Amino acid sequence: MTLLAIPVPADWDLDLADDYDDDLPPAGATAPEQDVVAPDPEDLAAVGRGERTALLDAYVRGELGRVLHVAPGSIDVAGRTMNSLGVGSINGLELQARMEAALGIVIDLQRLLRANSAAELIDCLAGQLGPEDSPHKSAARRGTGTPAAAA
Amino acid sequence: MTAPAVVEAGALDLWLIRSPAPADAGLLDLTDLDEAERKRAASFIRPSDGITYTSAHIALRRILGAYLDIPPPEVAFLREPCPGCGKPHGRPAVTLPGPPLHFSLSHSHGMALVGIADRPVGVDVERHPRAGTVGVCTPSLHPGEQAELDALPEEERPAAFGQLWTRKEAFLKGLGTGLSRGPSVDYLGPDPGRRPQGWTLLDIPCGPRHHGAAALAGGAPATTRLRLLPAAALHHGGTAGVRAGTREPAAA
Repeated sequence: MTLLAIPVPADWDLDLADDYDDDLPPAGATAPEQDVVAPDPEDLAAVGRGERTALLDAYVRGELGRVLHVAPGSIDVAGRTMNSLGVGSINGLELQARMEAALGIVIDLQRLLRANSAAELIDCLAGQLGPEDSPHKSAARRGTGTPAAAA
Repeated sequence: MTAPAVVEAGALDLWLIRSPAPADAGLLDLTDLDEAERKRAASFIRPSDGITYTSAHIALRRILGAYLDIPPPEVAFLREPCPGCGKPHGRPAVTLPGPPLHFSLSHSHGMALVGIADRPVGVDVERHPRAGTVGVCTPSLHPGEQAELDALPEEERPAAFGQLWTRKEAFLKGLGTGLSRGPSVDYLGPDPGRRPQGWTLLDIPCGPRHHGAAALAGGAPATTRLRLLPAAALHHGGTAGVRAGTREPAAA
């Protein structure tokens, strides 16, 4: 594979209004990122589907809030696609990595990015992390085969 | 009627689209977009994301319309079969018959990049990633890429990751799999001997806030043109400016 570089004319102005970085912390900000506490997978498996979904809703909101720099409670988890929330490939990869590490499951990045809503993702996670049989569950545990759908 | 510009044999045409400042977003001409595109443009929670999407898709329709010599609203899209599973979520393509015209579109935080060629092409543009994001994401990459990033001074890793990621996503878009092919599978780092064979990779300068890259199937393009779409090309009556740009002589 060849790698080429392309020059850009010196008179091109490619900078943008700061509004396009309004999801980033202000320049020079030193405040640490807010920590997000993940529910214990064993605890999730021990509770009913409704409670599990509620715990995962709070957790996924927290992770989305961290990568998107918005208040978790303000996130519309039901009515917007992940892309409309502001999840792109790089922060989607960050979400995937953080959730996989915290929950001990495999999450398909493409499916995460194409999820119709965060609620769809949460519902699938609730299926993967429950005690009951699930089409996602057996393959979803880390290292047990084909990565499962997460959305 | 002007003759269709159809991309020249072996050429790679690249277009950069800079979104307007939000105060000027009202100048964007949405009339070329279809209902689904308008609905999606309105769905973003951040207004700046909606402006980026709108600018990118007006530009894409106007650029493709100019190459195909049809009005931008008549450009119809489909998805090619995914090379991995055969389902219709592979590379986006235009439905019209005619000489091969491949395209790829990417947009991120105010910047968009369009690639046009007579063979499969993928492009990607991304805003510079944050250091914290890079630290979390690096273990998801190819082992060789991880090792090379880890060997860099910490302050150089975000830029290196950003450039690497745009190459990777451009390649996966060109391939047609997108990110259904895991980011750890292919090596897109600096060692040419380890990169996927049969593709040409280009690092595209995208200004002070973004990285960009293109991946073109086969050998190096006979000509490469990188153009900055004039702001007025996204306004009412801006189609003529795009058409003129597609007919400029190629510079090697």
